[in-house]
Amino acid sequence: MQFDWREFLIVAHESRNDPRESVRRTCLGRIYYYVYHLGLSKAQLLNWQDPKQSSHKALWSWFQGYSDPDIKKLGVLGSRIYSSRIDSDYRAHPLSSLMIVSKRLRNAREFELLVAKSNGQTPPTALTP
Amino acid sequence: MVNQLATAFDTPQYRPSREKPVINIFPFPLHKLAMCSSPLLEKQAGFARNWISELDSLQQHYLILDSDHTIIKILQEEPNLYELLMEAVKPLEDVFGTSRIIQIRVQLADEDYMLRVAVQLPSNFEGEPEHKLNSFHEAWWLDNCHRSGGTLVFDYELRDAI
Repeated sequence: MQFDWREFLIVAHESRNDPRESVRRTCLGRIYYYVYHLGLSKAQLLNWQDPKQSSHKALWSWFQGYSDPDIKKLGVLGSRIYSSRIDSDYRAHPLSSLMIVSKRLRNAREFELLVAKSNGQTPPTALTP
Repeated sequence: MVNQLATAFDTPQYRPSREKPVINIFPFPLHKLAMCSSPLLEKQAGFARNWISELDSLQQHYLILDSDHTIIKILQEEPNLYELLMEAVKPLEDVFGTSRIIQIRVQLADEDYMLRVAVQLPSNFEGEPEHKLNSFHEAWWLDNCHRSGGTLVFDYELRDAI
Protein backbone atom coordinates (compact mmCIF):
# COMPACT_ATOMS: atom_id res chain seq x y z
CA MET A 1 0.00 0.00 0.00
CA GLN A 2 1.31 3.41 -0.96
CA PHE A 3 2.22 5.89 1.72
CA ASP A 4 -0.37 8.61 2.22
CA TRP A 5 1.56 11.90 2.19
CA ARG A 6 -1.21 13.50 4.25
CA GLU A 7 0.21 11.62 7.22
CA PHE A 8 2.91 14.28 7.17
CA LEU A 9 0.27 16.98 7.57
CA ILE A 10 -1.34 15.10 10.45
CA VAL A 11 2.00 14.72 12.25
CA ALA A 12 2.71 18.43 11.82
CA HIS A 13 -0.77 19.27 13.05
CA GLU A 14 -0.33 17.12 16.13
CA SER A 15 2.89 18.95 16.97
CA ARG A 16 1.68 22.45 16.07
CA ASN A 17 1.73 23.76 19.65
CA ASP A 18 5.16 22.44 20.53
CA PRO A 19 7.30 25.55 21.07
CA ARG A 20 10.64 23.88 20.38
CA GLU A 21 12.33 25.40 17.38
CA SER A 22 13.47 22.00 16.13
CA VAL A 23 9.91 20.68 16.20
CA ARG A 24 8.53 23.75 14.46
CA ARG A 25 11.16 23.42 11.76
CA THR A 26 10.32 19.75 11.35
CA CYS A 27 6.63 20.62 11.09
CA LEU A 28 7.34 23.14 8.32
CA GLY A 29 9.28 20.52 6.39
CA ARG A 30 6.53 17.90 6.71
CA ILE A 31 3.80 20.41 5.74
CA TYR A 32 5.81 21.36 2.70
CA TYR A 33 6.37 17.82 1.54
CA TYR A 34 2.68 17.03 1.90
CA VAL A 35 1.85 20.04 -0.27
CA TYR A 36 4.69 19.25 -2.69
CA HIS A 37 3.50 15.69 -3.35
CA LEU A 38 -0.11 16.81 -3.64
CA GLY A 39 0.97 19.52 -6.07
CA LEU A 40 3.12 17.09 -8.01
CA SER A 41 0.25 14.66 -8.47
CA LYS A 42 -1.99 17.51 -9.60
CA ALA A 43 0.67 18.70 -12.03
CA GLN A 44 1.05 15.20 -13.45
CA LEU A 45 -2.68 15.20 -14.18
CA LEU A 46 -2.01 18.37 -16.17
CA ASN A 47 0.83 16.68 -18.09
CA TRP A 48 3.71 18.19 -16.14
CA GLN A 49 7.08 16.92 -17.30
CA ASP A 50 9.62 16.49 -14.52
CA PRO A 51 12.61 18.77 -15.10
CA LYS A 52 16.06 17.20 -15.11
CA GLN A 53 17.16 19.19 -12.09
CA SER A 54 15.29 20.53 -9.07
CA SER A 55 11.57 20.25 -9.43
CA HIS A 56 10.57 22.44 -6.49
CA LYS A 57 10.86 25.98 -7.80
CA ALA A 58 10.13 24.72 -11.31
CA LEU A 59 6.89 23.12 -10.16
CA TRP A 60 5.52 26.25 -8.47
CA SER A 61 6.64 28.42 -11.34
CA TRP A 62 4.87 26.08 -13.76
CA PHE A 63 1.61 26.44 -11.82
CA GLN A 64 2.04 30.22 -11.77
CA GLY A 65 2.19 30.22 -15.56
CA TYR A 66 -1.34 28.87 -15.86
CA SER A 67 -4.23 31.14 -16.82
CA ASP A 68 -6.71 29.37 -14.52
CA PRO A 69 -6.66 31.46 -11.32
CA ASP A 70 -7.10 28.45 -9.05
CA ILE A 71 -4.09 26.73 -10.60
CA LYS A 72 -2.09 29.93 -10.32
CA LYS A 73 -3.01 30.10 -6.63
CA LEU A 74 -1.56 26.62 -6.17
CA GLY A 75 1.72 28.01 -7.48
CA VAL A 76 1.63 31.04 -5.20
CA LEU A 77 0.69 29.01 -2.13
CA GLY A 78 3.22 26.29 -2.86
CA SER A 79 5.91 28.87 -3.30
CA ARG A 80 5.16 30.47 0.08
CA ILE A 81 5.27 27.13 1.85
CA TYR A 82 8.47 26.23 0.01
CA SER A 83 9.99 29.50 1.21
CA SER A 84 9.32 28.49 4.82
CA ARG A 85 10.74 25.06 4.19
CA ILE A 86 13.98 26.57 2.87
CA ASP A 87 14.31 28.69 6.01
CA SER A 88 13.54 25.75 8.27
CA ASP A 89 16.11 23.48 6.66
CA TYR A 90 18.85 25.89 5.56
CA ARG A 91 18.80 29.03 7.72
CA ALA A 92 20.15 29.07 11.26
CA HIS A 93 18.50 32.39 12.11
CA PRO A 94 15.50 31.85 14.42
CA LEU A 95 12.19 31.40 12.65
CA SER A 96 10.44 34.70 12.05
CA SER A 97 7.21 33.93 13.82
CA LEU A 98 5.95 31.72 16.62
CA MET A 99 2.77 31.33 14.60
CA ILE A 100 4.45 30.14 11.43
CA VAL A 101 3.37 26.50 11.80
CA SER A 102 -0.29 27.44 12.25
CA LYS A 103 -0.02 29.79 9.33
CA ARG A 104 1.40 27.12 7.06
CA LEU A 105 -1.18 24.56 8.23
CA ARG A 106 -3.88 26.99 7.09
CA ASN A 107 -2.07 27.46 3.77
CA ALA A 108 -1.86 23.68 3.33
CA ARG A 109 -5.60 23.40 3.98
CA GLU A 110 -6.26 26.09 1.40
CA PHE A 111 -4.02 24.20 -1.01
CA GLU A 112 -5.80 20.87 -0.58
CA LEU A 113 -9.20 22.56 -0.94
CA LEU A 114 -8.10 24.10 -4.23
CA VAL A 115 -6.77 20.77 -5.52
CA ALA A 116 -9.99 18.99 -4.56
CA LYS A 117 -12.08 21.70 -6.23
CA SER A 118 -9.97 21.52 -9.36
CA ASN A 119 -10.23 17.73 -9.48
CA GLY A 120 -13.96 17.75 -8.76
CA GLN A 121 -13.35 15.72 -5.60
CA THR A 122 -14.57 15.95 -2.03
CA PRO A 123 -11.81 17.57 0.01
CA PRO A 124 -10.21 15.66 2.89
CA THR A 125 -11.64 16.24 6.33
CA ALA A 126 -10.31 19.40 7.92
CA LEU A 127 -8.00 18.91 10.86
CA THR A 128 -9.27 20.51 14.05
CA PRO A 129 -8.04 24.10 14.48
CA MET B 1 26.07 33.48 -18.09
CA VAL B 2 27.60 36.76 -16.96
CA ASN B 3 31.08 35.36 -17.34
CA GLN B 4 30.33 34.09 -20.84
CA LEU B 5 28.99 37.45 -21.95
CA ALA B 6 31.90 39.27 -20.41
CA THR B 7 34.32 37.08 -22.33
CA ALA B 8 32.43 37.70 -25.57
CA PHE B 9 32.73 41.46 -25.14
CA ASP B 10 36.39 41.43 -24.15
CA THR B 11 37.61 42.38 -27.60
CA PRO B 12 39.63 45.47 -28.56
CA GLN B 13 36.73 47.43 -30.02
CA TYR B 14 34.64 46.98 -26.93
CA ARG B 15 37.37 47.28 -24.39
CA PRO B 16 36.86 50.31 -22.15
CA SER B 17 38.93 53.42 -22.49
CA ARG B 18 41.96 53.43 -20.23
CA GLU B 19 41.18 57.02 -19.34
CA LYS B 20 38.11 56.00 -17.41
CA PRO B 21 38.64 55.17 -13.77
CA VAL B 22 38.08 51.54 -13.02
CA ILE B 23 36.69 50.53 -9.69
CA ASN B 24 35.98 46.84 -9.58
CA ILE B 25 33.70 46.30 -6.66
CA PHE B 26 32.54 42.97 -7.99
CA PRO B 27 34.42 39.69 -7.76
CA PHE B 28 33.03 38.70 -11.17
CA PRO B 29 33.73 40.67 -14.35
CA LEU B 30 30.64 42.85 -14.20
CA HIS B 31 32.87 45.94 -14.45
CA LYS B 32 33.76 44.91 -17.99
CA LEU B 33 30.13 45.06 -18.98
CA ALA B 34 29.45 48.29 -17.17
CA MET B 35 32.23 50.03 -19.11
CA CYS B 36 31.13 49.00 -22.60
CA SER B 37 30.88 52.28 -24.48
CA SER B 38 28.98 51.27 -27.62
CA PRO B 39 25.29 52.22 -27.33
CA LEU B 40 24.44 49.79 -30.10
CA LEU B 41 26.23 46.99 -28.36
CA GLU B 42 24.55 47.83 -25.10
CA LYS B 43 21.14 47.90 -26.74
CA GLN B 44 21.73 44.66 -28.58
CA ALA B 45 23.00 42.90 -25.52
CA GLY B 46 20.40 44.34 -23.18
CA PHE B 47 23.10 45.94 -21.08
CA ALA B 48 21.92 49.51 -21.32
CA ARG B 49 20.99 49.06 -17.70
CA ASN B 50 22.66 50.57 -14.75
CA TRP B 51 22.54 47.88 -12.14
CA ILE B 52 23.76 50.08 -9.34
CA SER B 53 21.10 52.65 -10.13
CA GLU B 54 18.47 49.93 -10.15
CA LEU B 55 19.71 48.66 -6.84
CA ASP B 56 19.53 52.21 -5.45
CA SER B 57 15.95 52.47 -6.63
CA LEU B 58 15.04 49.21 -4.96
CA GLN B 59 16.68 50.33 -1.75
CA GLN B 60 14.38 53.35 -1.64
CA HIS B 61 11.45 51.01 -1.17
CA TYR B 62 12.89 47.84 0.29
CA LEU B 63 15.24 46.90 3.07
CA ILE B 64 17.61 44.52 1.30
CA LEU B 65 19.33 42.16 3.69
CA ASP B 66 21.90 40.72 1.31
CA SER B 67 25.01 42.20 -0.25
CA ASP B 68 24.78 44.51 -3.26
CA HIS B 69 26.86 42.01 -5.21
CA THR B 70 24.44 39.17 -4.56
CA ILE B 71 21.37 41.18 -5.50
CA ILE B 72 22.94 42.63 -8.64
CA LYS B 73 23.97 39.19 -9.77
CA ILE B 74 20.41 37.95 -9.36
CA LEU B 75 18.99 40.99 -11.17
CA GLN B 76 21.33 40.22 -14.03
CA GLU B 77 20.39 36.59 -14.15
CA GLU B 78 16.69 37.41 -14.04
CA PRO B 79 16.17 40.84 -15.62
CA ASN B 80 12.40 40.80 -15.03
CA LEU B 81 12.79 40.95 -11.29
CA TYR B 82 13.71 44.63 -11.06
CA GLU B 83 10.58 45.78 -12.85
CA LEU B 84 8.43 43.36 -10.92
CA LEU B 85 9.79 44.56 -7.59
CA MET B 86 9.29 48.20 -8.51
CA GLU B 87 5.78 47.54 -9.76
CA ALA B 88 4.95 45.64 -6.58
CA VAL B 89 5.57 48.63 -4.31
CA LYS B 90 2.25 50.38 -4.90
CA PRO B 91 -0.01 47.33 -4.59
CA LEU B 92 1.87 46.33 -1.43
CA GLU B 93 1.41 49.81 0.01
CA ASP B 94 -2.23 49.90 -1.03
CA VAL B 95 -2.89 46.80 1.02
CA PHE B 96 -0.50 47.05 3.96
CA GLY B 97 -0.03 50.82 4.25
CA THR B 98 2.73 53.16 3.18
CA SER B 99 4.94 53.10 6.26
CA ARG B 100 5.80 49.41 6.38
CA ILE B 101 9.28 48.05 6.18
CA ILE B 102 9.46 45.56 3.34
CA GLN B 103 12.43 43.21 3.53
CA ILE B 104 14.04 41.38 0.67
CA ARG B 105 16.40 38.51 1.29
CA VAL B 106 17.84 35.70 -0.74
CA GLN B 107 16.95 32.18 0.29
CA LEU B 108 19.38 29.47 -0.69
CA ALA B 109 18.72 25.77 -0.81
CA ASP B 110 20.89 23.06 -2.30
CA GLU B 111 19.24 23.25 -5.66
CA ASP B 112 17.37 26.55 -5.71
CA TYR B 113 17.36 30.15 -4.71
CA MET B 114 14.46 32.47 -4.13
CA LEU B 115 13.96 36.13 -3.29
CA ARG B 116 11.68 36.47 -0.31
CA VAL B 117 9.83 39.77 -0.05
CA ALA B 118 8.26 40.12 3.40
CA VAL B 119 6.19 43.00 4.74
CA GLN B 120 7.08 43.52 8.39
CA LEU B 121 3.97 43.90 10.54
CA PRO B 122 3.59 44.63 14.25
CA SER B 123 2.09 41.85 16.36
CA ASN B 124 -0.91 44.12 17.03
CA PHE B 125 -1.49 44.72 13.34
CA GLU B 126 -5.12 45.67 12.78
CA GLY B 127 -6.82 43.32 10.38
CA GLU B 128 -6.07 39.78 9.35
CA PRO B 129 -2.65 39.75 7.64
CA GLU B 130 -3.49 36.64 5.65
CA HIS B 131 -6.53 38.38 4.17
CA LYS B 132 -4.40 41.41 3.38
CA LEU B 133 -1.87 39.25 1.59
CA ASN B 134 -4.65 37.55 -0.34
CA SER B 135 -5.91 40.99 -1.37
CA PHE B 136 -2.45 41.78 -2.70
CA HIS B 137 -2.41 38.49 -4.58
CA GLU B 138 -5.82 39.16 -6.11
CA ALA B 139 -5.08 42.77 -6.93
CA TRP B 140 -1.71 42.31 -8.55
CA TRP B 141 0.42 39.24 -7.92
CA LEU B 142 -1.76 36.61 -9.58
CA ASP B 143 -1.66 38.67 -12.77
CA ASN B 144 2.11 39.02 -12.65
CA CYS B 145 3.56 35.99 -10.88
CA HIS B 146 4.28 34.22 -14.18
CA ARG B 147 6.93 36.88 -14.87
CA SER B 148 9.18 35.94 -11.95
CA GLY B 149 10.14 32.43 -13.01
CA GLY B 150 9.24 31.20 -9.54
CA THR B 151 11.96 33.28 -7.90
CA LEU B 152 9.83 35.85 -6.07
CA VAL B 153 7.71 35.03 -3.08
CA PHE B 154 5.65 37.66 -1.28
CA ASP B 155 4.72 37.18 2.34
CA TYR B 156 4.38 39.03 5.63
CA GLU B 157 6.12 38.57 8.94
CA LEU B 158 4.68 39.47 12.33
CA ARG B 159 7.20 41.00 14.72
CA ASP B 160 7.02 38.38 17.40
CA ALA B 161 10.46 37.10 16.54
CA ILE B 162 12.38 35.45 19.34
